[in-house]
Amino acid sequence: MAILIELLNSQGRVTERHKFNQPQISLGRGYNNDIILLDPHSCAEHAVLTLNDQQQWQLTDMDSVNGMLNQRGQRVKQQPITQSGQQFTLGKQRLRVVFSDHPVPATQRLQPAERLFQWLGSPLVLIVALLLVAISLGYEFWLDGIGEDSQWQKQLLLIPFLLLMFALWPLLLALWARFSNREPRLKPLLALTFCLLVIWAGWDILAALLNFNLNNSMLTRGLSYLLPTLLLLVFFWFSFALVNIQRRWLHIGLTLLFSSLYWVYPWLEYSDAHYSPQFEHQLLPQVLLLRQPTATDIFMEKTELLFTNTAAKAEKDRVEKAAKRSNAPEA
Amino acid sequence: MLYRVFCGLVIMLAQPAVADTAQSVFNNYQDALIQVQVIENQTQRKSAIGSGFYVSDDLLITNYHVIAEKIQSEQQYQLMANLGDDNKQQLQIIAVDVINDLALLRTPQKQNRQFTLASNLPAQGEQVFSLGNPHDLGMVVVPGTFNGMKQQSFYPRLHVTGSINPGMSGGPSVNSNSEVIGVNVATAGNQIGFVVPVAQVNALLAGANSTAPEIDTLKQQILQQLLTNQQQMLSPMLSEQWQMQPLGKGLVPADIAPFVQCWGHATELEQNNGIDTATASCGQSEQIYLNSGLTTGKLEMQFEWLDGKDLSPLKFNHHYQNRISYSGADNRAGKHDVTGFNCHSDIVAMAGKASRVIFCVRAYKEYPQLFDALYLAATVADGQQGFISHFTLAGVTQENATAFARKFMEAVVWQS
Repeated sequence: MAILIELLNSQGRVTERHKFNQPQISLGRGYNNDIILLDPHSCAEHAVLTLNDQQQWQLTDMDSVNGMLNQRGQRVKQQPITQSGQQFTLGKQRLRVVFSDHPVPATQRLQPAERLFQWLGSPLVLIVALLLVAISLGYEFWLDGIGEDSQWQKQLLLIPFLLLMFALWPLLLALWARFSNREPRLKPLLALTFCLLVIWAGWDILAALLNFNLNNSMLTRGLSYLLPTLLLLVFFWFSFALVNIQRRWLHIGLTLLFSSLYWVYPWLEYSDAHYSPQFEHQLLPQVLLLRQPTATDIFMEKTELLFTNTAAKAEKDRVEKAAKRSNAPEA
Repeated sequence: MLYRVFCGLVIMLAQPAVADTAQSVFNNYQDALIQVQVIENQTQRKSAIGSGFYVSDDLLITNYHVIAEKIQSEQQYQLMANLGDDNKQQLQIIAVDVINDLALLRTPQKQNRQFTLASNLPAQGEQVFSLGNPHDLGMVVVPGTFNGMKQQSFYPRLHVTGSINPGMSGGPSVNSNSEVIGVNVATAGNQIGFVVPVAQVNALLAGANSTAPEIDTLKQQILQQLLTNQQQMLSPMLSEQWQMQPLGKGLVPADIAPFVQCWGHATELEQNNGIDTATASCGQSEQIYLNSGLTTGKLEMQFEWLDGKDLSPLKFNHHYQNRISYSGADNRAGKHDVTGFNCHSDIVAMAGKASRVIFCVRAYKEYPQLFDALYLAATVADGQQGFISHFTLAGVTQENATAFARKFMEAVVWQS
């Protein structure tokens, strides 16, 4: 039966895999060995793996300087290999001895979104997305610039840096994948991020139209919560799928965690409705008004509710305060 | 030369006469003047001070704003009269008039010396004296000149040229016969002082019961005063036709009531502003003080005409929209006194012109039926022109706020 020796890095990941059919395998730094170790803490002739008469493999230390440690970290002179997958450390080099009938994990299915990822990986998509994001940034600068002190042309120089900033997230993910020995897939990650920004800009335009035409309607309000949330969920789901997170619960957990930022941020924001009211203020040019404006009378009828609601709130507060006062001990 | 000598003589002759009167006023009425202190119970320290004066053997007049904290948080404060030499007496509130900032108090210590109230106002230019305890420095008498009624004021106030300083609030201003012509209430700086006329003091005395009411009863009275006052302020504006004048293509009020003043301003046309604007504002800026966190009774309107003919319509619209993205109340009110604003916003047809109209309301927590209303409207941009109109009303009823908004929406329109 053939035997395999896997060299492992400090995280326990396989860096080399050797298969032998001979009864004796030598390990060490010397060039005459069957497995040549690079670790400077290992000796030229460090250890030897032999098959004895009872057809049992055993690993023997060759009186090396730093010795041989078994799986539990004890220094041993000789160790029989009783089961597949036993680990040893020679100097600082970790290794594992595996029999050829060692079971392998189940085959990983290709990601269902693999075709999308391939499409995202094409340079054309990335370039188009980058360009669209750059144009939308430039448009914002142009919109804001007004009067003789405007510097919007100079601000255009900021665009490359802003794009770089947006690229931080995919870079970070790719780096993480690289360090955990996964495929980094930077290009699809970048394309995914910039596609999200393009879709987001499209949503902003749609939201402006909806807010302008259908203020306070349930449809607009519902959409303005639902759509961005959905977009972010999809974005983070695919981001983590691209770096090949296997554990389902981790994938779901991370996606929910990052998407929830969209909800947490406005929730943390302090708003002083006593002084500065919050209201819909969307304005667009006349041509984009796609409905009949409301009549003054109907508008004023709707305002009646404002008085009723605030008066009820004030009344509730008064009652609470009175209750607190009557409970308080006499001063 | 002769002229100078003559002038010098006049001054020399006049000086001792003034000093004499001031001295006699002070000497005769020193005992009838007291310092009113609001003491915080926990720290046993002064939280507010003002002046007060006897109008009968046990009744004192001071300003409402001096004692407002006592009404706001009854159990947290004590009201004391500082009669000097560590002689402090607890005071009771008999009646208040928040509109004219007056309060009537009762002392346990009877006082023989009292001020008499003048039966009529002095002539303009006549010498008057203001008494009080400015900045806790001790009682002083300040000579001044009576300059008639404050012009264009909704609330009746006498205009006295003389140094009325913080702490003199609640002290009397007297004529040369030492008769009270009014109660010191405010200063506009630079020797301009305002005094509540004696007629308002008489009205307060006439309407007061002899016993001290519960604080809740006082609050009820304050609510009634506020309700009556907002009715008096708004009804002439609601019933009469507004005089309008154009601002760009918009129509804005020129004159709607004698106590509402209007101002205007425009950007310089030679400059490249991107958007040329012309603004107008009208308002009644005098406020009623209710407590340190709440003032009311104010009315203000603002109008803005915008023309960005050199801009692309999208760019114009972007900046136009930013101008209505934020609006705030005009009177001071914290979360202890009012609810948060509730708003309704819609695109409304006003005189055939589509406009974004925003109407916001907040309710007073201590004073049911009273609201602050905020209105903001901007025409939907027609090319590169826009017109913004805005008003705030403080301390009004639902009926008046709604009626005012309707009137405003009918009058302030875009002329196409």
